[in-house]
Amino acid sequence: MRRLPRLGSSATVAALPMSSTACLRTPAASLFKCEIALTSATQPHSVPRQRHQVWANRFQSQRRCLSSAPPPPASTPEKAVDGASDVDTQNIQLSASQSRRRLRARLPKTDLTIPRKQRTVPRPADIPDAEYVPAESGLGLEEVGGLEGWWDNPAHWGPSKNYVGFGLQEKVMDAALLQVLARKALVEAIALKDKFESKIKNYRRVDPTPAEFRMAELVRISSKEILVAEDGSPTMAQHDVYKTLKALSHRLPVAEGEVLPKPVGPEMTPEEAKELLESWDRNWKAASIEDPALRFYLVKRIQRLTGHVIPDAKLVGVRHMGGLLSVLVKPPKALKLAELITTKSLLPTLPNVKIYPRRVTPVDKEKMVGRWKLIQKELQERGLPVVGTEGYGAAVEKKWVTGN
Amino acid sequence: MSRALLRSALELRTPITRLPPPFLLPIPIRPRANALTAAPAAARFFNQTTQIVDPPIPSSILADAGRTPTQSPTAPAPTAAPVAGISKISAALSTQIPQPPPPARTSTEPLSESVRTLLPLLAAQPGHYATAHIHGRPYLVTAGDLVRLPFKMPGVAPGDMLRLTRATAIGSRDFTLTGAPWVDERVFECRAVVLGTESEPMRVLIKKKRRQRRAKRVESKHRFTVLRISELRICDELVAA
Amino acid sequence: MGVKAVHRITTGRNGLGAFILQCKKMDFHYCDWAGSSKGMNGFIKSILPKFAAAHPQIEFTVSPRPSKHPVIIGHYINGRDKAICVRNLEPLQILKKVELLRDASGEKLKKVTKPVQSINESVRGIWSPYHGNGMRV
Repeated sequence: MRRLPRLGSSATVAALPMSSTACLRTPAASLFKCEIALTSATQPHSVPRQRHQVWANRFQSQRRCLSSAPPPPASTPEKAVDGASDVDTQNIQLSASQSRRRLRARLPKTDLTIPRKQRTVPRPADIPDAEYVPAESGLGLEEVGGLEGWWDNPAHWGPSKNYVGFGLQEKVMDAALLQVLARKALVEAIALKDKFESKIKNYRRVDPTPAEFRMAELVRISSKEILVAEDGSPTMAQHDVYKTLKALSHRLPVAEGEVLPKPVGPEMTPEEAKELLESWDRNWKAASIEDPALRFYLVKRIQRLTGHVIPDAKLVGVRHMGGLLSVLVKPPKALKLAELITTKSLLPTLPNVKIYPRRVTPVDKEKMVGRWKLIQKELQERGLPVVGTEGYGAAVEKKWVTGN
Repeated sequence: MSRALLRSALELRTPITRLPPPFLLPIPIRPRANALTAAPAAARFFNQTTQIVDPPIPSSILADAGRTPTQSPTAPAPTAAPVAGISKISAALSTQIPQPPPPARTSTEPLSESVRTLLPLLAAQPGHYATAHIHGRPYLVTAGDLVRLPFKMPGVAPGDMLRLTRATAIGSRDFTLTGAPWVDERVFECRAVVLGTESEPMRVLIKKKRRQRRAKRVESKHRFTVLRISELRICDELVAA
Repeated sequence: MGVKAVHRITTGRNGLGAFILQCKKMDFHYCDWAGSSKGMNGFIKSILPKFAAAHPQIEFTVSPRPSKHPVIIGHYINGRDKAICVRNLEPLQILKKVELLRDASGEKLKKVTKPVQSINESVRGIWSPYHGNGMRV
């Protein structure tokens, strides 16, 4: 799919400012603008924004420039000149290689794949053949090569442009592991809430969204003692809060073009999680989470650690940790009867019993007796649909039969 | 035909109590009755019958015979026989414990002189029939006949073999042995195989009273047990002995 | 490929020599989701293993049929089949239906008035007025 309208001829558009996609198809004259565009493209998500601007006709005077009409001089940038002027065009061509070299040097590091050297056809004035008559229009000419669809290729986009979600991409589904992670989230939420309420002056650079967590850290943090007060509000000892915040501290700003760390699943087996879970008393499940700050941090941490987004409608009714766990931990899905009897019943051992995991269709029945290939072949020979009625319903068939 | 043959051949392959002919066995086998009492029986499927072992009748009983076929002396039926005239030979399902063979018939009445003289003649003729009674109803049957009983017999499964012990008459083309009321069950063996249960089309009876709009629809559908008379034999060897 | 007719020279009389059960195959269809299959699912789980083990001469197939009522289909040697819908039935009620299918011969239901069917020749022959002692009028 083309994103931009096809350009009339290279001469007219040679010096036009365009978005990063469009500038790549321009000759060297527009490399200056290209540089600007590429620089901006390295910012995450800036390219789509530019595209959007292009389509919304907000990117300078894009629409008019992309038409076959020559661009107004006012809209051209300082270095770009009127493409119709032969002298200036020559100057630009001469300085093209230098300009490209300069551009390369000035380009920031990027993981975008930028198309390399562009070869251009010689201008009519440069052709020594006196009989040569330049074409007046490009209609009917076949387009060879080019950069069309360059950015449609996902391989040309660097990994830094990939979507990185906030939560874990693969949800944690094991019940014991979920509970361990929920407890870790609670401990961290208590610490973050204390920080939020300015009880703690240190650890200013706390990132509430660290992504990776290791086994030892998971055990260490989730095993911090949670004291549940009489009104149900959970608290922790001061030194535990400090230690938790220290573990949460993270190099905060992400550098330009740096790939965001993907959230990594916990390095813990369900058995280990179960063991860990049984080593705690059940008191922590009675912890009240009615404090909005605590609840906010808790839900955010749970999304980051487990990938589960708890909907607001359910969150409203949740008052304590146990309630939250019942929302979070779903009972395992019931087994299908076919799975159940193949694993637990005597039936599959009997020689006269056959169990099918799905519906036995008429095609399956034909396949069982080895007739399906023949039927398929005969139907195809007659140009009839192999499966289904090719959109003709019973009413149409009746019409054919009755001849009305 | 081939499918039926294949199925019967497949059945033979199943681990059953059926044994190869005795001459093929490495050891002499004892009668089934003793085997049953000696050791727990192997798994028996519902269509496999236990071997029928009739207890040997002492020859002294047969020596002094009594009743004539044409007269009707007051010879009481053996008390041990079931009232229905059937002694069931095999159990219904393999889940049930195989029943021991029927107890020895206690009839020790000696056979009459005329029976002893005429029974071999009756047996020598080619075709035989018996008027067997099941639950008081007579059925004139020959070997290979299909009997559809007017009721569903409880506790039987397809493949079970029944022995019909009540008959008012057995006979051939020229001879008839009439019982009074029953023919002595020692002189004939009539066996039937339960084929299954059949049904009939739904009977619908509309019950309607005059000048009343209400009509009652009464539906009924009866079930019938179907038997095949697999064997009808005259036991003339008793007389010969 | 034409069909070749084979002249039948005998009539099958099941049980006269060997006995062959007429029901050769039973299909059990159920639905995982629907409530009408609850009893059927219980039957397949608990009763069918025993029943199938007790009937090695019948072929059993168990397959789901989503969003349909549970059905048992019996196939018979004579080429016919019998289907029974067992929706909302308890497992023991279903067992009765299964036994009905097992015991059936596969024939169409007919009204029979004579209890004994025989293809044998009459044992005593056809009655004749010219034989025997004659009738005195």
